[in-house]
Amino acid sequence: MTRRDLIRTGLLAVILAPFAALFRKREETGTGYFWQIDPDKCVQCGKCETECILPLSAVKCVHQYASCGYCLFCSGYYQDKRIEFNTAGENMRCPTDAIIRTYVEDPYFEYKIDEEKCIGCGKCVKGCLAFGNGSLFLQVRRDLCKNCNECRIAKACPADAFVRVPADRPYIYRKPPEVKS
Amino acid sequence: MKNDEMRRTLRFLQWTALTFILTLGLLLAYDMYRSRAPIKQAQDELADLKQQDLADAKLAKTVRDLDYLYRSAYFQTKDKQRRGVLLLGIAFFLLCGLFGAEMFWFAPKLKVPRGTASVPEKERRQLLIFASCGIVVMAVALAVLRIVLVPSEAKKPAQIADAPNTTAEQSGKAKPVQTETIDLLAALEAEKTQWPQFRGSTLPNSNALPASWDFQRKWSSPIELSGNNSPVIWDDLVFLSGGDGKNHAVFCYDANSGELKWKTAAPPAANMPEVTEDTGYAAPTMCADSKRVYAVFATGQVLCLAHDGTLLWHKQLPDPVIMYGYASSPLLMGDKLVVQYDMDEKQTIFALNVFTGETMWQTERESAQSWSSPKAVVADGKGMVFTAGNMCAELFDLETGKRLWSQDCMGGEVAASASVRDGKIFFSNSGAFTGALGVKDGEILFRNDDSPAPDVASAVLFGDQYLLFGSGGTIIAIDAADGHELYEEDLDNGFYASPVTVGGKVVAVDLDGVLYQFEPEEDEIEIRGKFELGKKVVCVPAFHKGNIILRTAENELICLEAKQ
Amino acid sequence: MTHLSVLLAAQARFPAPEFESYTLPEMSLEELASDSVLWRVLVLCVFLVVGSLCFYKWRSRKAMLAYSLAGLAVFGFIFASCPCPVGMFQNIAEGVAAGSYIQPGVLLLFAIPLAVSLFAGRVFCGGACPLGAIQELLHWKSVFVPRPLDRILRLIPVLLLLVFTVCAIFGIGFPLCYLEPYLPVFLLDFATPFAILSAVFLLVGLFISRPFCRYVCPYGVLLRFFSMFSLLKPQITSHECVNCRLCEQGCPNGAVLPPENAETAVQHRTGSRRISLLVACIPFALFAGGLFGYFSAPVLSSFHRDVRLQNELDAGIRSEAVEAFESTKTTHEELRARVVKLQNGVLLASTAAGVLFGALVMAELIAEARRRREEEVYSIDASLCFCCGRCYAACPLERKEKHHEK
Repeated sequence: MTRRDLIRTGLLAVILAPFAALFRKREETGTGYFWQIDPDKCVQCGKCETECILPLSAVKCVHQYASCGYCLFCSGYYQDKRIEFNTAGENMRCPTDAIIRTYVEDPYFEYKIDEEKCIGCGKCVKGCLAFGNGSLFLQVRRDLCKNCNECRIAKACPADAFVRVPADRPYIYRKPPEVKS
Repeated sequence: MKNDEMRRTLRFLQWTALTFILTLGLLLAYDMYRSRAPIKQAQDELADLKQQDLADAKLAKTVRDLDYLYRSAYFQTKDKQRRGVLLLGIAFFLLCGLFGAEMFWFAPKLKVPRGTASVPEKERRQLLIFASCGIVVMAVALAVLRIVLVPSEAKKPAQIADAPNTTAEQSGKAKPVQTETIDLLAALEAEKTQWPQFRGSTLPNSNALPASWDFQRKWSSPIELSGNNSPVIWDDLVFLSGGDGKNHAVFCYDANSGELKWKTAAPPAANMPEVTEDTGYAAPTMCADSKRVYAVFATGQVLCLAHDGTLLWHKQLPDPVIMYGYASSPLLMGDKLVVQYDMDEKQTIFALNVFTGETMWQTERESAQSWSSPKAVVADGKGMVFTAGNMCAELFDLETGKRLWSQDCMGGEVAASASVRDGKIFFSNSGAFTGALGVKDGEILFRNDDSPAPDVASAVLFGDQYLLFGSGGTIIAIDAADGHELYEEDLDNGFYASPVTVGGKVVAVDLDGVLYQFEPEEDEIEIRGKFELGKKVVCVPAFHKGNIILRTAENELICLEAKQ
Repeated sequence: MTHLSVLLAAQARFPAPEFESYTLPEMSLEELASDSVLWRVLVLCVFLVVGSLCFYKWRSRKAMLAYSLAGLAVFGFIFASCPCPVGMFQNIAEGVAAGSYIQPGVLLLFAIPLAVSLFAGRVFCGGACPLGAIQELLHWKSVFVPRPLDRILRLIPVLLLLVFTVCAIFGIGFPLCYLEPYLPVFLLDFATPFAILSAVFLLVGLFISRPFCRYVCPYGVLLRFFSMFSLLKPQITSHECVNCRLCEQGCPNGAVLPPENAETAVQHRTGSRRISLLVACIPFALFAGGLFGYFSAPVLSSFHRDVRLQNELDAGIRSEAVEAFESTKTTHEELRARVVKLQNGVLLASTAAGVLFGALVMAELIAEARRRREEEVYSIDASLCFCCGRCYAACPLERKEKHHEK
């Protein structure tokens, strides 16, 4: 075996050594590779809409129905200065009309995000948090995100709300409210 | 021949692709550049419109139409850009393919190089020369980097003074110290025509009274943050501060128009003390000189700002733990800002350099907590500072901070501040002391323990009378020569705002916002003017070119001008 | 007030209604079908094997061109380049420093090209790397960089590798992902200021072969080092070289080394003198490197989120970040302590990196001053060879052989 062979074997061992770590038991808190927004840290600054490299951001609003109050006057749906509670443009908070409101039963309404239209600006999230239950929040959609190694939104996020999550738990849900028995 | 033709075709395609990429790229860039601002503008405009009164059917219709228009424009633009960019990507790949194809079919023609082969030995020598040059370039770059870097850090003076140095680098760096000197007497003289600190100027103020005592509002402006400090004025700028326990800021208004010229937020405080509502977070009145303004907050922060609102320095004084909250106004004397810092535990008087915020001297006082503001005393061209507090009245030398004398005559909760004339210091505070002290040695010239003294407003000297404005609405005049009570006058409401002497009259504003103009006579006080503002006022009015500027307790800054 | 408290306060306000007939819709969030990074790894392996065959077995320039084009299409445009092995050293450095779990895909992407380079040199650069591929293809007329200048410029990637590693370790960010000039092309995101960098590099690349690979790519430094020990060495021709110097002209990357005679006594003396001079310079170089690192530390750390936040707090700027920070439970002292710790860490690491850089520069210079090959024919420096196959195409003996085969 020449000296060169020896060095080569050594270097190969160096490269392969870290793989031993893969057999280590994975911790529960282990961070992952995929970008996600921690809804509790998010301050709805609106950068998700503008900073993403995609023409329409991979960040969309999601609705956690379990914590929704199904309010008649949804503060995520209606803007603060609205006069009437109808579907006229001037009363809407969403700039792209991406929230679909459907009647369920008196006096409840269901709110659904139309993801084709949602641009991830977070205005409804802010509105919902201000008066409601916070059941609307922003998430990076795994099917849209290109998963850049260095996410532009993460870099611009003022609240440091972008975290890395593992592939098997790609979304961070808000804790649903406890149901009173 | 066929090869030539193919090559020409390839070349042509390459050029076409390149031209296409360049054209499309430029068009896209232009389009993105052009569309970005309008989209943002349109969104803002729409957001603004949505905040207006939508009960107006016409406005509602406009908003509705615009909403639809902008929405479709937004998606159309994005869609167009997405398609354009996709096309650009495809073109890029095609171009790469075409370049590759040319190399695939047509190997570059290689010529046997003329001359001798390269000489490695020569190259080695060159390498060393290049390396040396490289090192020189690096060294120059490093030097430039340092030069560029150093002023940028010097420009950032907002270091919290007591905080540990954040980098090893900063520790060795001296702060730039301005060498400008300020003559104390000239500075005090210049103050007379302005309204630069608590209760006006140190020397008698030369501002004129309004032409008549019937006012109209010249302007009024809301103040973003509440505070019990009184407005101060330098030339045409009104300065005041405010704080709510979270945000603290200094505001500057135009004295002529009332327009908010700037506001500068204080850096976050290290500790947030507890204060009562009567005191608040911004009770100390600011000070102003010809170039800078100074603000002290209940958080123990001292801020110095230029007249344009830039933060020049910021200093955090030790933990501000005091019952009710810190309230002493700072005193500006030439190049020193004197801060009486009487806390529950420790009572200190600081003199800070106005240029840098450095502590020039600090002296511990023999006192308990107090809320009184220091008073400037000038005798024989020498500056001194009088302080009152629970237990002692003291006089300090302005230059050294040395205690000149101390008179054990005070007690209780001391909040008022003194008046000075002809080598005498007059002071009145309920439960503490009412009387006069000699500047020279602190000897008690007289004291009057019988007349009820004010507990908030500071008494004012007028002629040979010392006038005490109580918080119950009583005005008591005592003789400035021996201290006996001359007369007593009862008014409707009490005074929190200290009265001031301007233009040969005494001006005071009571808690109901009644603005009085008094002229004390021998045995009574004559009300020369009475104007009802109808708002609660606890702050001292400020005078500016015959107008009166008032801060109400409802966070409004009002400028009153005499009715023609 | 934190969001959580708002949330908790608000939850009491609107309890979930009890419906009679309506059932709560499921939240349908698309789970990731498969780990796209692992797909990349798989395709990468196939590419590297095919590339090695093309280069070492078939010895064909045309095959290498096709390999590049395929690499560009697959890794560049289909996989959108990011994440690529080039940037992965940052993830590894960050993960190792934080002691966190490193995704197997990330580790594989980083390790496979290195492992392959121990056996087959830099076939990865030849075309499996989309950045290499686009530079390989978008090259028009070769302008040769003088060899001594080339050697100096080759030190830049070493510096970048050290700086970027420090940045990644301390969480300052992944600067390479910004400075990587071809990324806007692959991500189809031309709306960034970095697109100007792309244009510059593409333009320069038309004349100077592989400007990014040779003078910027930090991963290339590792590949260069590993491929020095490569099992397979590229060989221009198996025939007896006629020293026609065509291959030297053909290689725009400066990897073809000219033959050299044994040194003369005079040359030996000069060489020895040079080496002793350089050795004497070592302490200065280490010191200068350390100084350089020490002074650049504040610049590096000023890019960190916490340091920026602290600066904004100190300057009294009410930025979004400051407001967001104040809504969290972190106190100013905690932040300051974190910033001080970070700044001290960066100072130490940056100084160490500076010293290391000084040492590497001296090592390079000494190695160059010392090297005395006694080669009679043109040979390839495996550590610099990007496996493009131009020399095969240039060699008249090879061409003749190909012709005969047909």
